[in-house]
Amino acid sequence: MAVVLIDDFSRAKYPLAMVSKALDVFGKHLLIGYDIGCVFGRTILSSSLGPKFQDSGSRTCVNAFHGYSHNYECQCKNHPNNIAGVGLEDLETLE
Amino acid sequence: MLVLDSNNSLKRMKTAREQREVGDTRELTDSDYFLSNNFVDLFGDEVQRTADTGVKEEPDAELSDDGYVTDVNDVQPQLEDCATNWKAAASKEKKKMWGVFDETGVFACACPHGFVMWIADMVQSGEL
Repeated sequence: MAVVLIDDFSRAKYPLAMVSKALDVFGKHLLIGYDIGCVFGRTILSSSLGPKFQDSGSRTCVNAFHGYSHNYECQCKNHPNNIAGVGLEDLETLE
Repeated sequence: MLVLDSNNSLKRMKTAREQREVGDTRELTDSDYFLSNNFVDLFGDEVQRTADTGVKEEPDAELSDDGYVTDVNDVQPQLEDCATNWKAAASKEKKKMWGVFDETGVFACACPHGFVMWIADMVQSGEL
């Protein structure tokens, strides 16, 4: 579930903060699974983390179960079933 | 691999401070699991909201064939549509949130083994 801050200016600050820490600690080749990983990938690129994220060879994706609520084209690109190296991981750990 | 998600269960009401003390105001400094509100707020202005209240605010990006985002300029409306249902459902939560809660939940990052990497309080806000 998602809600906008009262003054409507703090968008995606929590996941962006997490990605920032992940890039600092782990560095390269991250796979970030998120309910709206498809859109969030573009959000990251539009942020100050964009260049660093792109250079690190990282990407975002959707979780295996939540991914089925996305349209077919999105699933083809962002569902973990279609991403090499994910294996049987469903990325639903936090559920 | 990392997983991100929020939870709206750990809420704390705003208190009338002249009537009551806040229960626990300790700052957890012995580990770096908890991201401070100040650190999270650094990313508060990263994505500017457009003037309307629609759900499509993020700029579009081009995806290479294997899904890696390569450029922020291409338009992909199909990929935006699948997030609109998710954000539309969130508006109901917004009505409950307004003016009542100080902390509305937590946002966490974990590894697939179940270890929490980082966690942050959502203060007077939701996931986005």
